[in-house]
Amino acid sequence: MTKSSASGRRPITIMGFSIWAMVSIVIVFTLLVIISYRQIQDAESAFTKQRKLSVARHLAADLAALQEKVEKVAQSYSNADETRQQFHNSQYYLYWRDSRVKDNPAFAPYINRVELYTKRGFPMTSQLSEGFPGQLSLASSFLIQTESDVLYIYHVSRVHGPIKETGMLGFLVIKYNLANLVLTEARLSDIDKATLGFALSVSRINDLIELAAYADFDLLASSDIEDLIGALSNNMITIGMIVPIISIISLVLFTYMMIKPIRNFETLVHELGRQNIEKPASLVFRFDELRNIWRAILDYRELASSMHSDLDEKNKELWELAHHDPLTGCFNRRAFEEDWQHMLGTIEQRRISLAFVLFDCDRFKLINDNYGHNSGDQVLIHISNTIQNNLRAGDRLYRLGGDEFCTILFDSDKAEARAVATRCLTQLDKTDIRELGINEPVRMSIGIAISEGTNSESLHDLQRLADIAMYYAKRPDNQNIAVYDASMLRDSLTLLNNEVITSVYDAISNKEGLQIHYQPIIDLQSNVVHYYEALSRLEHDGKLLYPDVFLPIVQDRFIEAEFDQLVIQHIQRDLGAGRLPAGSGVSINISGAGVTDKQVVAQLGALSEYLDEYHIYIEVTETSLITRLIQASEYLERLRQQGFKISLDDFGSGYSSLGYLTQMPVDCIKFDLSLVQALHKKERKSLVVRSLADMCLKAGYQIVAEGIEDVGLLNTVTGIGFTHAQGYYIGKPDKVPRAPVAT
Amino acid sequence: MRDIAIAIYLVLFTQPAWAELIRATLPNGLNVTAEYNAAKDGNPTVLIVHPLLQTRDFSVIVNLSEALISDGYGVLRPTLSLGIDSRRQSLACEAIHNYSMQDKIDEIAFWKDWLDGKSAGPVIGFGHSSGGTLVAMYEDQQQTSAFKSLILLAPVHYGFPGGTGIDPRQMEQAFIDEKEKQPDRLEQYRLSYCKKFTTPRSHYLEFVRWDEAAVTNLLKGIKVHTDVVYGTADPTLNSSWKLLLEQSNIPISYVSGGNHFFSGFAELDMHDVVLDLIDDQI
Repeated sequence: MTKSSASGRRPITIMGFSIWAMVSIVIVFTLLVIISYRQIQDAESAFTKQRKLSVARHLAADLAALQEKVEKVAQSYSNADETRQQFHNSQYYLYWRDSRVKDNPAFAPYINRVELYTKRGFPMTSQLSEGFPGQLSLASSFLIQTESDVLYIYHVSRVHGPIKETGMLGFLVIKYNLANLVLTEARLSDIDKATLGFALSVSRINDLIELAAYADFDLLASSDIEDLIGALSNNMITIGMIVPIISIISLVLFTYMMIKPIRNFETLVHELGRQNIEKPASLVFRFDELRNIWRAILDYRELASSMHSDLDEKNKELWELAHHDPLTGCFNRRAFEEDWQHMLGTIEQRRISLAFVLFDCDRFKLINDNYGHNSGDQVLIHISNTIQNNLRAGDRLYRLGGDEFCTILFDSDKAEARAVATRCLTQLDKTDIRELGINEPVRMSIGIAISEGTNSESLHDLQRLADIAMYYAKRPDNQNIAVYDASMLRDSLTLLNNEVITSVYDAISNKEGLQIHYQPIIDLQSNVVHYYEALSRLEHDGKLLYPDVFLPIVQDRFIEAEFDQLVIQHIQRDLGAGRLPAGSGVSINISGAGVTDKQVVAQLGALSEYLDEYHIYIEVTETSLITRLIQASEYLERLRQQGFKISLDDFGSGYSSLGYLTQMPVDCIKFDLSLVQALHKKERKSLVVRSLADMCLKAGYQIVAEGIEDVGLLNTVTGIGFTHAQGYYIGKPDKVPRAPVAT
Repeated sequence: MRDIAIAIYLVLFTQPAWAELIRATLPNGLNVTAEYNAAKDGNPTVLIVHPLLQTRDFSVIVNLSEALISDGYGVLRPTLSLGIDSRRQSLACEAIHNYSMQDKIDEIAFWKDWLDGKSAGPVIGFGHSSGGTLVAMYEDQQQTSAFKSLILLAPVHYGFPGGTGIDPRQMEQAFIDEKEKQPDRLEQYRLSYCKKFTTPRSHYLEFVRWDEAAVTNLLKGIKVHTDVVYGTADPTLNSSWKLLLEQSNIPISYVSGGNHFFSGFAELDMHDVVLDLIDDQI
């Protein structure tokens, strides 16, 4: 890139350059012609001046020769016998003067008159011719005077006798018409004779050469040099006229021969980018160079086309890479962000109904940890394919990161969104995940946010609202699908409450704020408190926060193991302090992450010193146990061997199945509140629960009924055979372990 | 070609004539000149008078003089002044001829006397054209013969040529009348071969009086032997004039083919004739 183009200067056109070049040539030639013409004029002027000087010298020479001529004429007359005759006998002087003078061989037309004067200077006749002096002044040889605007010169010469002894006879005065004399006798080279004049009226001179000083004349126009100068001047003028004409003709020819084809060529090159042209019939290449350029362009186009195709493919690949998740093949977060922004820009200020659906795999981290990343990847691919296959045609599935996917369902309402989500979940459930080497169920939670939006502002919140719904979907009492509604806002606010987050981190980092409340669980055969379930509370600014508020944050921040350790430490202190009644026990809730955490397991193992004095139960949820079944089973089995009891919490709320149950190292099964309460609602479900309880008892498990809030339910579960019961009717959680209110 | 041959002849067969220039002043004050070659061995001297408007340097005169000198004759060749001091040039017909016939005769007399003063011996009078007429006039005016003999080369008269039909007498009378009125008036006349002979009326009448008859009578009256030589082609010798001369028994020698100025070979023949005539006189 040149400096000019880099600086943004627009390149000139060939036509512009051609005109500029032609105008420049014309100007330069014109200037040269003018300069040459002026130089020629100066040369001519100098030559003329020089020539005039030369001519003046020649004129002086002419006048000198003329003087000789005049003197010869005078000599001729003086020597003439007839002239001397008059000095002896002037009787017929007038005849001689008027007639005989002309017969002298020296007579010429420029001789106007001749007069003779005596030795004393007096005229020979009283009838003196016009202009002749009445008496001669002998001081000069020539007298010049103007008569009737004609300049005459009177030449005075002495007339001597034929022999020396005779002496001077008198004077001869010849009157000449000066102009005729000069024009006739002088050569007057290069003088325009018509312009010759002498600027004097009356004068006396001794020498005709003196006239040169008074001569005024023009030079003849023609001479070789002047002809040459004239020819040069004419040539300059001709060139000055021809050059612009030639330039214009050249410009026209250049335009016709070069610029027009180049412009056609330019148009053709432009069109070349839009269509496939080899060479249009109308384009005639007058120049081989243009044809070569055209061929080169075609070759270049072919090469460029090839490169363009490659580049398109590369771009496509790059775009694919940039917008698709390499693992699952679905769109990635970048694609989502672009589509989202595009959607926002497209639907701005328009009413639109759409659903933002957020998918999240439950406990995916455990799968990764337990089965390896390869298996985890296979699970993600399976999830992605399943979801994509169950979306509507044209709907895009995005992987936002990790195990989180989303889609945007345009023109979709709440029912349709839920139907799509349900369809996806159903298909996922139908898949035998064991083909992937995963021996536990893979569950998805789906949060949906609907926008029947009035403007784009509501759309901006969709992702956040779907996120809120997602957390709702993950709650045990939900069906893994939650559509956001306003009631979720409070919880969402809680989720996002900084005070809660601060409290959680204060408890873990600063060991502050955590309280353990103990709720009694009675042995239904003895009606005594068999042990207490340790329930976590966080105190913040005098208020207590319950697990439903802070556990989601703990789970979301993946600090479950840390939190479990904190709880264990607290219980360990209480056990060490003897705050629990002797002979009773304590059940500790351990998270899914904690049950596979070595430190947590080790810390639990440290409580074994209290096994002799207390019953210590480790409560894990069936979900956490199933997602980490192998490793969790290993650790829990090790704890059982040490004397700990394993309690399966919230049985019936999640993936629990009898098949899994048999594989779990469990001593005690805590029936979920929904199961227990079902004993009072529907006969069929109650029957199932009773049979289940019976089956568990027969299998040797202790079974605990949660949610016992009245005596009727207590009697029911007692009648069924539950070994233990827990609920507000029996005793509420308290910082200090207390005996049941009523047994 | 012929002129070249003559020139060669003159160079080869004539001796250079180293003449003496004679300057003299006439009684009227005019200066005149002549060339003089003294005669050898007692030979006579020839006084040669040139034609009217010529000078002594007229070629016919010069060539003849040299021939004569070459043969040992003395020659005096004066230039008649014609009223002009120290005249050196021939005069045009139109020039002012302000002299009389007698003025010219007097000049011939002057030079005859000058020869006599030189004791040059016998003198033969010779004149060409009007010079011959003048020599005859001079001789005629002398009471005793001035010359031993005369040789007149193509002498002329001044009258009108024959056949003009004009009565010269009547014309003379008319001139006389005019002369009485303005005798000095300068006029131009036809005289001899001059168409505009410029001279005062009085002088013209002196000339014109000498017509064919007058000259014939003049020649007839000359007391010394007089020979006349003419060229057979001389236009001035018209038939009437020739008849008059022949009838007067004047001896005439003819030069075959010669014109008035004996141009060409006629000049040599003329020389032979003249020399023979002089030899015959000795």
